[in-house]
Amino acid sequence: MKDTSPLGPELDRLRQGVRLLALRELGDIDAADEVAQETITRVFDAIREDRLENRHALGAFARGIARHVIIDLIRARRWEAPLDNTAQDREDTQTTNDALSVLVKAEQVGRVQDALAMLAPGEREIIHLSYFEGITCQELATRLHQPAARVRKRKERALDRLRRAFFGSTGHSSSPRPTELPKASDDIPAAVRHLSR
Amino acid sequence: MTEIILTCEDVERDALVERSLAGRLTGADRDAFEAHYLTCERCQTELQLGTAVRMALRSSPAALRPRAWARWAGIGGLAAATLVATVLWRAQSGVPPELLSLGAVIQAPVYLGVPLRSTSAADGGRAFDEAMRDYQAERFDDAARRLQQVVRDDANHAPAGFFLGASLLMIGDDDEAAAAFARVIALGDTPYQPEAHFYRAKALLRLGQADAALTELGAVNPRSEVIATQARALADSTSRRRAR
Repeated sequence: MKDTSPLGPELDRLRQGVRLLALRELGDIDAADEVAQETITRVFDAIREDRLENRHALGAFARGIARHVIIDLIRARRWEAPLDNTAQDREDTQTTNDALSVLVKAEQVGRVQDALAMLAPGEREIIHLSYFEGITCQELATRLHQPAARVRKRKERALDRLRRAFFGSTGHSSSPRPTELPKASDDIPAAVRHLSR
Repeated sequence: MTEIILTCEDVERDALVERSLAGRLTGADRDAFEAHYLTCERCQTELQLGTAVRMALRSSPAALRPRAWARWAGIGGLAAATLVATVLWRAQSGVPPELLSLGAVIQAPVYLGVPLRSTSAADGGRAFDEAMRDYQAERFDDAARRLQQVVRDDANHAPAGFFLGASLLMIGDDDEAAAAFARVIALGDTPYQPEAHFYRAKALLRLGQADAALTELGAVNPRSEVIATQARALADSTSRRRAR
């Protein structure tokens, strides 16, 4: 039976997050799953043994563990893999920025592409500069000689359309919501006892 | 050590998803963002959306990316011809996601700031040094602009040509990156030639031109051991994914 305690959904999110992190580092979905599994196990043990002092820092705590697991995996592969595979691994690790593309379906890309075509040229430019040059709304405003509030609004509007296209007909809430961390007063050991592994 | 705990509002305000995907998030910002998205479903989704947007923009006709070729339109006859041909091709065909992922570049080609790969024109002067300061700081857009000027002044400046291609590749201007690397290759036997073939192949994969990419990878001099090994691995992956 699926766990309904406060920690269950949190560990599910964490598992997915670690998987994304590992996929971006390793470029390999199987290895990412392996890292996620190992990291969650170690986090679970740490919580059970009361080694996580501040539950609000779960992300940072898990990130530290995940980084170690990733490094261990890379080391192990370099040591164990045959020479011809090592070259392949080296190449596969060079796929970071868009390594998540394996999680994105072709039809999602197609829908986003259609939505991009429907945007005003100025909105497309904002999206392009944001995602390829990684610049903030403030920097965009300077670059485009427009007020920052206007740029922010245009970007939000464009992103909203792209989100709707990405999620298809099911829709998706575009309004930002704060990260849903559990309250610090939650009883972690009690929650862990109810967590099914 | 004090951990920085971010909210989704921080992520949105500072464009952390966009910067992360563009490869411009480093140090404490990167650590804090990773710690945040590990437990944040919304930001995990935004990363996937951003990846889809980047893929869609790359495989869109160039007309949908106005600055991508307006910015570099003054490059010259050969590049312009390459660009037009590529634009026409891409207008008719989307790029398969698996080729796009093979064209991804985890880290910009390293510039050490010392003349390890020196050529007769490698000293470059002040403009080149300034451009490479931008490059090392991962301000690839600024680096590309400066290197463009260096190449205009000295078309035989192989390091400037090579790192111009690398900068363009890092900002997703794949057409122009491929053209820049082609110009480096055309210079003949320079220390930058093997890597120019390799990274041109990356740009061509992003453009969906698997056959041309395989040709480039096959042209890497096998005596350049490290890059030749990477080229063979990439060629194998390309052949396998194309066959699927």
